[in-house]
Amino acid sequence: MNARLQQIVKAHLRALACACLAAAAAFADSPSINSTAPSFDGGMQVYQHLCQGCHMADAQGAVGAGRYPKLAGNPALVSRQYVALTVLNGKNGMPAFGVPVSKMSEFGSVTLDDARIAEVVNYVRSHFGNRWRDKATATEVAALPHPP
Amino acid sequence: MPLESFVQVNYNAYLHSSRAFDGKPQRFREIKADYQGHVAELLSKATQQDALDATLSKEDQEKLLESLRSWGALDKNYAYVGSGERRGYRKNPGGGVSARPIPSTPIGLGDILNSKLWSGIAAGDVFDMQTALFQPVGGMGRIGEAFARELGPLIHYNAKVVDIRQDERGVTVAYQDARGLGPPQKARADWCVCTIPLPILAQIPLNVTPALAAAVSAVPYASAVKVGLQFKRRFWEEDEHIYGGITYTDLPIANIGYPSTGFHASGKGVLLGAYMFGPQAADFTSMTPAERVQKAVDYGSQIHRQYREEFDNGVSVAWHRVPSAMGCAGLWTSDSRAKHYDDLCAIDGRIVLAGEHASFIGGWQEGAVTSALDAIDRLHQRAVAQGDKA
Repeated sequence: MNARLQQIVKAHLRALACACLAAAAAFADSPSINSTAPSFDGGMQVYQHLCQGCHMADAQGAVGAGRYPKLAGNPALVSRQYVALTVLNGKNGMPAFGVPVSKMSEFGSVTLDDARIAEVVNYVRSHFGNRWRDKATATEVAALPHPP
Repeated sequence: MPLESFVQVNYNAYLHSSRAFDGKPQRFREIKADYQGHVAELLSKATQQDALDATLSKEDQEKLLESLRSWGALDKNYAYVGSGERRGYRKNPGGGVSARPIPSTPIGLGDILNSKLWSGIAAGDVFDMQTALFQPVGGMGRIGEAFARELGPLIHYNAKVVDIRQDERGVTVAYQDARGLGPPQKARADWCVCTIPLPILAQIPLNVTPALAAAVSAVPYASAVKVGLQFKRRFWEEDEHIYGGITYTDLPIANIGYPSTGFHASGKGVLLGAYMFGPQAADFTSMTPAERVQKAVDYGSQIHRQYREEFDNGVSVAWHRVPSAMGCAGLWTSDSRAKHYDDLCAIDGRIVLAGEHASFIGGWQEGAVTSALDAIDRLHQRAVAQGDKA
């Protein structure tokens, strides 16, 4: 960085940056008017409202600078416990959906209860060409390690 | 790079709840004035009923009462009966024979409390949001463009990093052309400042200590979505006298941001039709771009009835669909910060990370730049101490 740019950046940094998240961060730091938490009915709804944001509507995943793993035909789905653990605790950039509501991040985590997690695990393991017959249950998910 | 004023707080923008006031948006000034007035009156009563005797001296109680009258616009009896000078009038004061204002009626405290609209009052009091604010003319992207202009050919575009390997003398980074052009290449340097967003870095082979590797994998990224809506005219100005600022709502769009510039311009205008985090952002990310715009128009029309008639076009950005970021910002919690933040920022051999994820100003360009300045300061000291060329 040359001296002129450094000077400009230092002088205006706070001011400049403010526009980026102006609306959202204010929202994040103060109690929100927004209390319309979506409710999900069954694994398909969880998938279509949350998971497909990254894993895509056809569960084929995506590739950019990094990648979102495809779930269709993914051999890792052989273990329903592994899938449930991944949803509960997240992996790398994937958020943990088992985070207690009381531990929500300032940017707003998404929390699924054990029954919803079991449903979405069963949904992805029985759709998109996946044909695993064994089913996760809410009781089984509840027994798995959850995020602190 | 020229700057212009950014309007954060606008007393004429709305606070809106779909479940209060029959879904009718309320002007920020009215909710703020009435909430403040009612609270001031309550605290005055508590003071006058000696409820604060154990906390404040009688002399200080008198000063408190005086301050509450000023802060809450109370009358001589410390009652809040509504104040035209704060919440506005039913008919504004003017000139001549029609000059006399007609007062407006304050909203009851119970209605405000039940509506939850009070939760939008403090948005502009947050440290980072306090007036005055600025934005680059042309948008925040102008900052990155300014770096590109100054750094010129030092930047290799479309370089997709596939491997980062350090040894005792330096760091080798392997990269491919993201468009698939040409063979993989390598760059070699004494030190590496790595600004790759963590969800991507966590997938790149990287020989660092277990502590840094654990930190890189410990930070998921927040979901965020913005929807820009273009309308045939600036109806929010022409019809509703809203010039910049933000309307907050309990609808999934979370807020509507009005442009801070171009006031009174004829022709089309663009506003921020949604800015969401959390579950609503995840939901909108899952939609097609056309669905996002349609939903933003549907929800927004509950606040501005002109939406349907005036809608022209729209675009959206869902940060989890940005291939170079895979999310908006590091989703730190107090627990994960306590456990991993220092490890994430520590110089690991010849590698150090920088970016908003390595800052306490998450999600802001300021966090990214200050973390980089901090990182290169520390690298410089380390290099000099080791007798390396810096």
